[in-house]
Amino acid sequence: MLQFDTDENCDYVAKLLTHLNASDQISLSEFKNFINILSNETGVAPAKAVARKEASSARSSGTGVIVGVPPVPQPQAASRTQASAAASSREVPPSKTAPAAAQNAASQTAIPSDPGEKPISLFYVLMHYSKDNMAKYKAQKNDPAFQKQPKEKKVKEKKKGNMKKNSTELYDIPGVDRVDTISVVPNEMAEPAPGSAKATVSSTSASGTVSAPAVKTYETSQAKQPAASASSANFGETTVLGAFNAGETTVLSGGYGTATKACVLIRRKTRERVVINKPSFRIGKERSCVDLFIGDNAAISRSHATINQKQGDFYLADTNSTNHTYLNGRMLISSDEVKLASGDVISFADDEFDVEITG
Amino acid sequence: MNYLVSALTDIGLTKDTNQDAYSIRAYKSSIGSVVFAILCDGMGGLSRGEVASATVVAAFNRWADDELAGLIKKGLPENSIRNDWTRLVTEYNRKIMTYGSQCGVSLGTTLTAILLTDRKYYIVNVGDTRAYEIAGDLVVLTKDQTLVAREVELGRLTPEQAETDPRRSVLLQCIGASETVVPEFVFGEAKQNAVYMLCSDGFRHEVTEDEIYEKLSPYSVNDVEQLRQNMQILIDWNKERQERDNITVVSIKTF
Repeated sequence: MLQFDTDENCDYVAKLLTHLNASDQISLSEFKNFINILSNETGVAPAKAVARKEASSARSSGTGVIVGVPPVPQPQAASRTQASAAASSREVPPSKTAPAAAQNAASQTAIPSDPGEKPISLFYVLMHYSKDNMAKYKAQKNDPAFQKQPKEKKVKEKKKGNMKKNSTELYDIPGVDRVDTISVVPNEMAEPAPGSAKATVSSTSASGTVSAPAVKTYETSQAKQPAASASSANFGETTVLGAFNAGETTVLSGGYGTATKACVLIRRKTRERVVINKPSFRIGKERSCVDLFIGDNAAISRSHATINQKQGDFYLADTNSTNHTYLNGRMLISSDEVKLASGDVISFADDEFDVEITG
Repeated sequence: MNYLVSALTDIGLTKDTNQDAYSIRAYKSSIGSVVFAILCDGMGGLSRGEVASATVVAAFNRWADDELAGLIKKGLPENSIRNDWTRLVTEYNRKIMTYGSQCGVSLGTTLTAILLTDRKYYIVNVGDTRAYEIAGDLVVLTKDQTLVAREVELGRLTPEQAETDPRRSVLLQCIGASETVVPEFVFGEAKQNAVYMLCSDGFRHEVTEDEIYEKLSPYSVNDVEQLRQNMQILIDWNKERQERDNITVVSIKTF
């Protein structure tokens, strides 16, 4: 469930994304300037609004994906701005304070939050010493509201720990690309799936690792992204967040380079091209529960077969069809899941399809 | 094999009593979990139908409790199962008929039961209650032992005509009201990710096979709650479409 301030002007989000996408290299000070410009433009502290969004979306279960991203080496900034982001979202009850989203990661790794709105930590003052900052810090010390910082940080970290339960991927290995293992229910992408009750369609893909669907996930619900990133966020330590990657936020245009292959089936009978565009793609003649409906062949079963995507590869499985599924002439048994390669020929009963895999 | 099981029954729109009786049991055994489910649709005036159906359900449950373990040890030989079940059907046909003549009424019941293991299913059928296998397709595993079904088989009626024929509920035999009863046996390979469903005839006159598939296909039921809800939807559709009889459905999903 998302909680948004619907009156809020969210343009800064798009601007932030565009800015981050603009170059591979981000300098902290430059990013900080950008944030300041934005906050001055809108009059709203971006980090605060972002924290709210993350907070609510973090409560959805961890059905989202992050493709691994290299960590940005700014550990100190991270911890401090985490704390300040947490504190700044005081308006949201502390239990909702969420682990980082990509945006929050950005602010955490790169930018101290707008000091005018957030409590200032001693660390920040030391890093950005000015009389003003010093004065503000001293003033804060006396203000009880700001004392909550350390506690909030703990609460947040604890919450991150809880978030972990929803994600099956636990450890952030520096330098290693991470892909979260998720269970994706294709017809319900737009809703967080509660627990594992709604297991994936095919038993063999229940623990599948999928990367391609990230595209779909982001398209249907932006909230997923923070949740996913959250699970990659650190779990108690102030390490740098791997989730910060300008490239990742371009998923709206579809795909991030190496991870995504495309699979197309071409029906011999009609030369129709079918793009496999879901993690669990169903074939059959039952309109209500298939992705490829084959209506002109009675030999096809209502649920005939599925093509599942795992770690970028495509796997064919027969779903108890009456007249069977064949790959290059070999009949699949029901528990088989066979990897597809370009040039393969699939037969659903007597209906033949050529397989093209690109990428 | 793992199972999700659920069952629902509804007295329907017009009847005073619900004469359907059913039971589902799961047993842990040396070959894993084993499910035994049974459905009986009773008939007979003065509420006697209830007695007939309940009696047969109880008898088969006793058999399961007493005999199943021993049979599993012997590898579930098909002949033993056939013999045991034929014996039960014959015995209770006698008993119910005797009871009926003592009370001056005619009563009887259908029977559809399934024993499901991780390898095979064993089904016994008398009457017009049905067993379905819903997997890649929807398959009716049993043959209706009705007058109209025989007419269709003999080519004298089309299936569509049979559905609306006024004699459509006339049975060729049932336990308790026939001179002799010859049960039908259907044995086969149990599929994983399939739904085995038993239902009384009140459940399947007013809903189409497409609708049953849509709601009860293994891909539509991922947990027990959903299974239950979907069965209820089908029952509701039957009632909306003025089905008059008792309606019962028993479902077992394998996964």
